[in-house]
Amino acid sequence: MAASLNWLFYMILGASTFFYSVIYDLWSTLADNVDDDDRFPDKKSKIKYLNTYRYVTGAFLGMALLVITFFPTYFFLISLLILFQIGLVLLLVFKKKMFIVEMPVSSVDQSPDTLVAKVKKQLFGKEERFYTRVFILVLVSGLFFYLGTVFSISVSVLIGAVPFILFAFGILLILGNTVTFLSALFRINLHVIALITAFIAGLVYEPHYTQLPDKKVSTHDFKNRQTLSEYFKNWVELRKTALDDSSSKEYPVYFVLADGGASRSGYWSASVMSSLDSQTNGKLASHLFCLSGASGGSVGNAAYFNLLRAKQTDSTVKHSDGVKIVQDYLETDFLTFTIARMLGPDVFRYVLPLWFIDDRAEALASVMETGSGDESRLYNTMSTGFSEIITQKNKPYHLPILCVNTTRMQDGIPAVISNINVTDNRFNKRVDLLGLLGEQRDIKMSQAVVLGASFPYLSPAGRINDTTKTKESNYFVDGGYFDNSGSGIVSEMINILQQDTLYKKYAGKLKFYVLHATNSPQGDAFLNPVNPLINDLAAPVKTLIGAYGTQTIVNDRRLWNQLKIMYPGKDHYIKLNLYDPNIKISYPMDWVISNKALADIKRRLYTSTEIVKLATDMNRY
Amino acid sequence: MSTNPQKKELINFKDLFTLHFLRALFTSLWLFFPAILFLALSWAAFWQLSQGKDLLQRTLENGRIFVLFIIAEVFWTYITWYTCYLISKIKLTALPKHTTDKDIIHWRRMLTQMPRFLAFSCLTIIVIAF
Repeated sequence: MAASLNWLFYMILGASTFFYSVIYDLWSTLADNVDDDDRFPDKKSKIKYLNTYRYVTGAFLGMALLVITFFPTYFFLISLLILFQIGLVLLLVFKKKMFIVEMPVSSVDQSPDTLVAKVKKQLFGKEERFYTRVFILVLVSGLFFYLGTVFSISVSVLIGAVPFILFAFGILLILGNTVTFLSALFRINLHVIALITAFIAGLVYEPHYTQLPDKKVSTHDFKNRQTLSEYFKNWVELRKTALDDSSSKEYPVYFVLADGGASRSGYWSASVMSSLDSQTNGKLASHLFCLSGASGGSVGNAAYFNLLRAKQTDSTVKHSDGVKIVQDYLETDFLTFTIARMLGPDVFRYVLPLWFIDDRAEALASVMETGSGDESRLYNTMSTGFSEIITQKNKPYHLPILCVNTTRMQDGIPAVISNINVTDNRFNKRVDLLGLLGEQRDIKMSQAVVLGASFPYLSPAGRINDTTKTKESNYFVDGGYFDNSGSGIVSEMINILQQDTLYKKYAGKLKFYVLHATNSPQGDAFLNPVNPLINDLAAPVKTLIGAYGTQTIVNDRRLWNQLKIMYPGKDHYIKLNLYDPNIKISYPMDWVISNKALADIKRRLYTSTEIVKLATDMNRY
Repeated sequence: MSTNPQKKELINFKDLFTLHFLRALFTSLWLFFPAILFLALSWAAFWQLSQGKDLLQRTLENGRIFVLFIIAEVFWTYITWYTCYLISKIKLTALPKHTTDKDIIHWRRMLTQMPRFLAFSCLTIIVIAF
């Protein structure tokens, strides 16, 4: 279906060239009337004829614009754009004709041959003067929107992504065509010179450092974080009464996994968790041991984690408010401000050292902090430094373990940003990212989740220098490159806990459950034959791309098997999938989601039989 | 179609299959590649990516974003035409006014039509994407 629609689009695109020819021919014939028709004997009558068409067209388009401002419907929009096409060709054809009528003989050029004179002649010649003035006006208004979006989060949220992208295309096109214009004027390819300059500048200037703040709470040391065993001991201690209560047979321990998938996954996983809390009066939160996720899933986990923090400090925040709080926050447009930096300063950064303007990764972190507006309950909670939420040895801790999974770009080793110490060898050489920072620097929650959600191209790999020993340069990218669900570290945690003496004491009562919030269509992909040429040339690349998703499937399955062995015949790995296999629907994976898609996700939240069953089970404990 | 294509600088259907036309077409693709690049990017963003389609849906849902979208579309279209027109004008002034060389004739037509057609395509791409 999608493929046939694509072909239809291409056919319409091809047909548009003929549509253009027909319109052009029609307007040219009408414009040429001034040459052939006896009704226009002199210049004045010719100009009047041409101007009548131009003014009527201008007025007509202006009126159409007014109509669509008041009736912004799909039908009117398409009609308006087609009218624009017809009107545009008319105005351009009649403009040319007007110039020929007004200036039939070109005067001899006597201007000096300097650069300024050459450019001035091209821009302010008799034919171009008016259009150059319009261009300046249009440019100033476009720059107003463009720069406003680049420099202000609130403006970016107001403008929206599509208008900004079009403004940015216009501004960048001016730059690109200016280089072409000068290349044509001087007969030198300045594009190549610009590319070489960008490459050389990249050798001396690093634009993508993660801008780490200094620690606010100097007494919280990263090296003093609790180990998993210490955290488990603290966790058990806080629930000792319930665990020692012989009237209940089982005490569930929840590990939450949240798959990557930008705002879609964040919205889904945070909604699921807060909905479970709402339906069970906070049972999930009180039985929760760990939140692990990658990419957008980490954003959802962090939002839910901040909701738990808010509940701890503010008694007015009820369990029933949770869904609205996280949804209000995650409905924020995180995309426009990020794209504004990508199509703004980050383009020029290749040749200009714009150290005073943050890159698009920092922009994404900033918009996650304050983009939701100060009416949001989670406003600015993401600006909290990780040092403020880490565990400390011998101090009680009331929040779950938070694991933001990321991947080191240079060697593909998985890394974790966590409130507990993950340097134990049994974590299989995962990089403990907080351990690289030393004790002076901190990392904000927003920066941490952005490191773990560095989408290909949209966010660059963030650089963090290891200040502790070797001064190595570490670049971190999306956690999904290695493990898109965060199941790897949870599997390792369960392995470690199974060897723990305290766990062994309560093993009969403590039952581990994994709640996996997924947001991808279910089922296996169909394997198509591969062209022999592609097989020979691109087999390694194709395999690596395939392994990207499969690695996560294998990790998840390993954890599933692990729980099957621990609890034979029982289902302790519960998948909570956004996609209902009985309904054909597609949810966009983006940092902003339309109201229509949000409504579909909300509908799924309240109709998912898995969530209803899980809430019912939780209420039994 | 046109009765006098030379006067109108119109590219006729039969011209599409000549080597002169193809030569002029490829040269113009190189000359106007910044404008073509952004057209290609908008094709990729709004046609190929599900994210782009959802962004267009969001544009229709919000009155403020919708109005700004119309302004931005007009902006992009005008900039595309005007900047490409200036480039084509430099190239056109370097061409002889009267010639029988078919390469030059096709090149002249291409330089005349391409800025207009590229601006026209800024609207086409968005119309079809919606």
